[in-house]
Amino acid sequence: MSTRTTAFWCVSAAAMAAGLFTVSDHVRDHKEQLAELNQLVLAERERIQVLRSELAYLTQPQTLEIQNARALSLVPIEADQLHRSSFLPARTANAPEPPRNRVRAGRDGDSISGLPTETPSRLSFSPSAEEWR
Amino acid sequence: MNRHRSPSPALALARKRLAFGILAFAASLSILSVKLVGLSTLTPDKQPSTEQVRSEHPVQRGDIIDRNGRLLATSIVSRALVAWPPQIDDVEVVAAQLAGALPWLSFEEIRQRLSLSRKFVFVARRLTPQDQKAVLDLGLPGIGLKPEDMRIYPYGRLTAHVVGRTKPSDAGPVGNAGAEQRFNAILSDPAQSVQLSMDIRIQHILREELARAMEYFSAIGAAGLVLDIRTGEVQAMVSLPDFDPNRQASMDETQANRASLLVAEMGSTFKLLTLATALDQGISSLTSRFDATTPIRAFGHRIGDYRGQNRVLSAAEVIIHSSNIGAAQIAEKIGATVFRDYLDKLGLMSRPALELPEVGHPIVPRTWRPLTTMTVGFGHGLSVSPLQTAAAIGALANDGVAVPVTLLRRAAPAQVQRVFSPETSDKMRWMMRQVVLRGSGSRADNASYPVGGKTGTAEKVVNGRYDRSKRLSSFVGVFPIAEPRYSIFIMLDEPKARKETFGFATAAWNAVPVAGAVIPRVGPILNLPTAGPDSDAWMQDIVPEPFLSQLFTDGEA
Repeated sequence: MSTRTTAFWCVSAAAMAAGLFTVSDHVRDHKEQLAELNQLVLAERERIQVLRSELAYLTQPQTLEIQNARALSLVPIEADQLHRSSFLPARTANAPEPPRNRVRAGRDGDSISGLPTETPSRLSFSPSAEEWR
Repeated sequence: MNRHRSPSPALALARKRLAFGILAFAASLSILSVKLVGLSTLTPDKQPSTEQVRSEHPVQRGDIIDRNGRLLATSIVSRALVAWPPQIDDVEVVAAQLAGALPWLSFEEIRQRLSLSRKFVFVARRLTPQDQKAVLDLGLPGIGLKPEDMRIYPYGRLTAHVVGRTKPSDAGPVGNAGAEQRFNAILSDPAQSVQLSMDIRIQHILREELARAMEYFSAIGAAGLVLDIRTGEVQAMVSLPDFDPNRQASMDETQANRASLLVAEMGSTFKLLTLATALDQGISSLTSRFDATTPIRAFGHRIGDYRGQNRVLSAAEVIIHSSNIGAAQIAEKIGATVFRDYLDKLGLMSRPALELPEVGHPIVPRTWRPLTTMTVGFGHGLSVSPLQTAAAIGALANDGVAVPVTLLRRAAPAQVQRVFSPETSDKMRWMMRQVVLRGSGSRADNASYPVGGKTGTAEKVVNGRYDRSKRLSSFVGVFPIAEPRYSIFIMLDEPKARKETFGFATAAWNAVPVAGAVIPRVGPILNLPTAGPDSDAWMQDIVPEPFLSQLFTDGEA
C-alpha cells in the first residue's frame, strides 16, 4: 500500500469520525431539547388534570346555586314554561287574518315601542297551564 | 560481493520496537475510537421518548365520569413529605424547622416520625404547592418530596355512595367502595375511564329534596332513586346520611347505601305486583270483589287494615285504600308457585346485578307457607332493596318488560324479559294513576308530568318484632304515566309525625311530597314532553268512564 493511499484512508477516516461526531452531537442536542419539551408536556398534562378537577369542583350544582343567588338571580326553568306546538289552539276558519303591519326604519321622535302593536296578535297560549290542572 | 548487507542487530531490534509501538498505539486508538463511536451513537437515552410521553399519564388511575362527561373522580399528582432518618443529624432541629414551615403539623408528630428506626418514612401526605415550596426552601438534608397519586372527588358527598372511594397501597390507589371498587381493574389503567349512567343534575335535585325532607321529618336516613325504565340506567341514586370521600377514610354503619344495600319489607308498594300477577293470570279483574269487612284470621295470625274500609272492596279499591285484607286474599288466590315465579322474573328473589359491591341480597323466606304468600301479597315477609322495588315497578309500567338495572351508560338494555302482558301493564298504569288521583299518592302529582305510583309504610323489625314507632315510609312512582319513561323511589327511614301532618308519619305525608317536588324539577332536565290539556285521556281506553262506578263502590266514581 502506497503512502498516498494510506494517507487518503487516514484523512477519510478522520473526516468521517469528525462528521459522525458532529452529527451525533447535534442529535444529542436535539434529543435534549425534545426531552425538555416532553417534560413540559408532562407537566402541562399534570396542570390540565388539576384544572379539570378545579373546574368540576367549582361547577358543583350547589356552588352554582350560591353564585347564582349572589350575582344573577336566575331561576330554574319551570315545567309550566314548556309547551308543545301541538297544544296551540287551531285557528278557526272565519278568523280574520292576522295584521300584517309593515316594519319601517325608526325615525327621530318615534316612541320606543314604535313598532306596530295597535292590533294584538291572535296567537296566544291558552288555556294556561293552571287551567289544565 | 554482498550488495545487500543484513541490518545490524541493533537496528533490527529498533525496528521491531518501533513496529510494536505503532501497533500498540494503533490498537489503543482503535479502542478509543470504538468507545467514542459507541458513546456518541449507541448510548441509550435516559430521557423519556416522545412515544413514552404520548402514552404516559401523569397519574396511575383513570377517571369516572357521569353520563354527560362531568368528572366524578379523578387523580392529580400530589407530593408527600418524606424523610431518610439515617441522613438526619439532629432530629430536634429538623423537626422544629419543619413544624415552623408547616404549621398544621405538630412538632411532636414530626419528631416521632423522624425518630423511627427506618431507612425511609412518610412524614405527611398531600402537601399543597405552598407547603412544598416551604419545605424545599429549608433545604434540609434527609428531607424530600415524593410524587404520588391523589384521588379526588369534585362532587364530594353528592356522589359518595355511587362513586365510592379508594385506599392507598404500594401499587397506587385501590378502590375499596362503590364504582371505584367494582371497576378497579379498568380504572387501574390510566388511559381508561368509566362512564356512569347517572346524571349529576338529577342526583343533586334528588339529594336536595331528600335532605330537606329528612331534616323536616327528623328521619334517621333517606334513600332515593331515579331509573330509566327502558334502558335500566340508574340516573340518580342517593342515600343519606352520606360521607365525604375526600376526607373520610372509612364509614360507619349509618352511612351504608340504603338505596341498594338495605333490604327491608317494602309494605304496600308490593300490592301493585300482587294485583298485576292476578290480572296477568286472569285470576282477578279490576272489578273482582274481596271481602274486607273484618280482619282475616289465618294460621294463627290476624291480618287487618291500617285504616279499614270495613266493607267489600273491588280489586281496584284494594289498591286505592291499600287494603292488606284484600291484597292477602288476592295473593292467596294466585298461589305460592305462580306468585314466586312472577317475583323471580321481576328480580325480587335474587341479588340484582348492579355494578356496585354494596348491593343487598333479598331475604326470601326459607319455607314458603300459605301464610307467607298472603303476607308477601301486602309487602311483608319478603325483604328487598329500594333498587329492586323501583326496577320491578318500572317493569310493570314498561309494557310489562323487565330490564336489568345498570350503573353504566347504555343506549339500549342488554337483555330484557317480558313478565306481564301489555294489557296488564296498561291496567296497572291506570291503577297507579288512580292512586295518585284518588288515593295516598296525590301529593306526588303535577300538571306537567302526571305521575302514577303507590305508597308503602312498613314497620321495621327490631329484635325479631315489629316496632310500631319505627317505620320505613316509601313511595314508588312512574312518570310521565301516560308514556312511562322513569321510575322514582323515595324512602324515609323512621320519619316522625309533625303538627303540620296532623300527627301522621305515613308515606302519603312525607315520602310522596318529596316525589312531588323532585319530578317537576327533573322533567325539563330529562327533556320530557309536558302533558297537554287531556293528559289523562289515555285512561278512557283502559277503563271507560261509565265503568268507574263498578270499580269504586264508595260513591267516589
